[in-house]
Amino acid sequence: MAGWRKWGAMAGGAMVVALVLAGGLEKERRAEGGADGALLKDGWRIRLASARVAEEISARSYAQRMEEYSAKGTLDNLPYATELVGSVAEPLIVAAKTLYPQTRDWAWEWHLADTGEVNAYCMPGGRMVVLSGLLSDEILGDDRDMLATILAHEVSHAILQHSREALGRAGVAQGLAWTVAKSLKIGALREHEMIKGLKSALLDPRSRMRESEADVLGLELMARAGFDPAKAVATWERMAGRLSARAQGKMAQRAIAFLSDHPSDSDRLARMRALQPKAVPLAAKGKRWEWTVQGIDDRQAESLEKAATAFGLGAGLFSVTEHSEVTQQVAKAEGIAPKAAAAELEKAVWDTGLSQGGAVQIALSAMLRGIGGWERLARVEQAWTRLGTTRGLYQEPALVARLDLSDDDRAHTFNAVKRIDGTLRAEGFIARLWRDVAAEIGKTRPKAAAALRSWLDGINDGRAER
Amino acid sequence: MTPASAIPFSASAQWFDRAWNLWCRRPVFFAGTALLMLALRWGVDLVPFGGGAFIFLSYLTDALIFAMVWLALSQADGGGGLMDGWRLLNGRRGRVARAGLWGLPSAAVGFLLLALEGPLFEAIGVALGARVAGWLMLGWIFAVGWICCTLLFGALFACIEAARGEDGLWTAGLKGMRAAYVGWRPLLGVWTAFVCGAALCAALTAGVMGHLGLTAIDGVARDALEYWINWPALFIAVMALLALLTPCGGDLLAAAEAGGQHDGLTLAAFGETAAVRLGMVLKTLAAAVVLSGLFVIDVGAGSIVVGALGLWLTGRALAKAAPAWGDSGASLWARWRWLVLTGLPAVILWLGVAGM
Repeated sequence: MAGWRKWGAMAGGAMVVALVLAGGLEKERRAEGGADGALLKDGWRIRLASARVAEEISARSYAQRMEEYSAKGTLDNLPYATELVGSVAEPLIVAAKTLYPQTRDWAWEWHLADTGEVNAYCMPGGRMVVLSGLLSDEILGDDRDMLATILAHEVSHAILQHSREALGRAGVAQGLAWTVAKSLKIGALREHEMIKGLKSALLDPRSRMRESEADVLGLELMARAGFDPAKAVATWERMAGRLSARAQGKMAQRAIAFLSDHPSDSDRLARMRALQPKAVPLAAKGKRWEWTVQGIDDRQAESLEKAATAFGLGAGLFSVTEHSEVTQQVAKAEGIAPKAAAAELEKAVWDTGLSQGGAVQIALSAMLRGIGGWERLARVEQAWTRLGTTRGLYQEPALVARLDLSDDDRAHTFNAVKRIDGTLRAEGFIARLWRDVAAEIGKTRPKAAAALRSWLDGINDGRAER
Repeated sequence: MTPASAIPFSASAQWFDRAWNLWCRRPVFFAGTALLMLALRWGVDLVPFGGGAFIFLSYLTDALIFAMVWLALSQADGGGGLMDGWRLLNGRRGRVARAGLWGLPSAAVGFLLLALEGPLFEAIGVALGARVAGWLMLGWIFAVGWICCTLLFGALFACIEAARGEDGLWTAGLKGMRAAYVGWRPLLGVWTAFVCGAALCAALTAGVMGHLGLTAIDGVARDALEYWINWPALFIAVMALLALLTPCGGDLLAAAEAGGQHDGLTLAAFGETAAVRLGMVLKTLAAAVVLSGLFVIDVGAGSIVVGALGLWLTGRALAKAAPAWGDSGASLWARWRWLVLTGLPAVILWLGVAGM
């Protein structure tokens, strides 16, 4: 009888083990055709926490953080930087939805929090937040490809449901450590070390693997969204540079890798360099319309191009002729005619990434979000065409009132103009633009660059005095 | 190889077999005793004093319960109840409770070895990489747990010796520790089974908590559930330990006795050897701490130097006190002065510097 009981208990135990493992066993599923050129293969994972619980926990934490940011007035308070984040986040969302169909139902959101911290995160369910320190000149500046590297890495964590995996493992480590500590009567004095050690041993190696996975999928995702994968290496090099003052050499990097849950910089950079050539073909596919919002289909791209004309968001968006004061100063500094100075400034503005690829895209992103949908965008563009004007709505906001639109569509169009204006007139953007123009023109005309910087300093001093 | 040291790893399987049969015969007895033990521990050292500050009190209560269980199950008629065990302890309860203090070495070893975890494994992480260090840390925690577990079994056996008639606290302790020493292999089996079982229970509880949504249970109720959900695992562990007590204790105490007679190795010699070896271990750990100090970045040089010095001085003093540990007639002062004169100041200094 006892023998039967023993075998019964063993069989029961085996069934429990099997159920626990089978209950948590899951595999990521890509969309059909999504495996072509994939840098990360779908693998089986044990997730002891359900997606719903992870989502509830993250939603609560997200709501708390949003409340804190709002209370401090740091949420989306920098129009230019906010639109910069949006112009990167939106294509990544499109790429994620295309590659992983399960993310289509997510409550995707993105925000900028002006806390000055250097960080970004994406919670389960697609809630992204970029902290403003990341966009400082010393870190990423306003390089969209670099920001895409970081955001794609964070989005990859969410897609691969790493927080669910970590939640389950943390639960196991905590429960095991508690039982062991209480059984051995280790007591409060060292129970904490036992828990910490077990968590480190069970979570950290896996955490470093998760970071590596997010690096790889992030590279793929940013490439599929049309961003430049070559910038991924530069981005991680720059992030690694932040630590270089603290950690010189391989040994110190290993120490940091052990103390943190991230892979060492040398490992990460080596992996990125090795994978970058494989990501380039994906980037070529993702870049449907090179100077505007990436990750949209051809029909949407066509609609956007027409709407860009309607809103006056073309290449001539930043006309320096509006800044005759600057033109005069540059002409005086270089001893050239004001017309020639204006031409050179126009060229420099165009040559800065901000004007050519960045600011126009950011303005377009702002327009799209202000309008609030592709169908309305098409209606606004058609109404503008019927009006028979060549002036853009951004340059001539009064035209909006004359468009043959419903009240709702008109309100959204005003909103779009307001958003574009808020972005392009943001102090941060203006300062960045002229600083970049000074750098650009300084390549051939250093006196002009000095005059520009002096003019910019004058503006900043004036603001400070006010 | 002595007969004592020949107790194989597989003996643990036989113990589990016999323990299972015992449990099947008297499930209510074991469940009730385990509940009593946990209730006492919860009442004595888990809640009222802030979670473990007075944990030594539970060594005394545990000693009495294990001794009662041993005596109750050792009755010729197949075993009595817990009250029979209590009655059989008449006149010896104080000695048995005192013998429970032999559990303190286990706590001290756990305290010391877990304190070294940070600097040692950061150093290994630097030298061999984070992944290797992570796995080695898991091994370290397992090994520390096994050593603590073996020492706790030693304390348990000491209580049984005291219950069986041994009057001397010193002799009872040495006999218990010797029994644990000769049974280190099967005790490793017991420890492995315990860790596997605890890991399974933890996976189950993590799965349950991971599927209970915040809408289903939240706030104080969720915190309470998170606390109590691990108690069934502890209850099962204690029940298993109680059932293992008779087969395991009977075999190991007999083997230690027989081994001692066979080797001609006296208890005193065992005590002296243990003290000498422990001193060596402490000095080796001091060297390891110094070595790890060359690699770590988040532990101050002062902590490393003072820590290593404390370990080395303590180890040296303990080795010097070894003859007193081998002499059953030696005074308490002769046996413990190493701790007071050299080890204690160094440890206090170390704790102060390390902020532990």
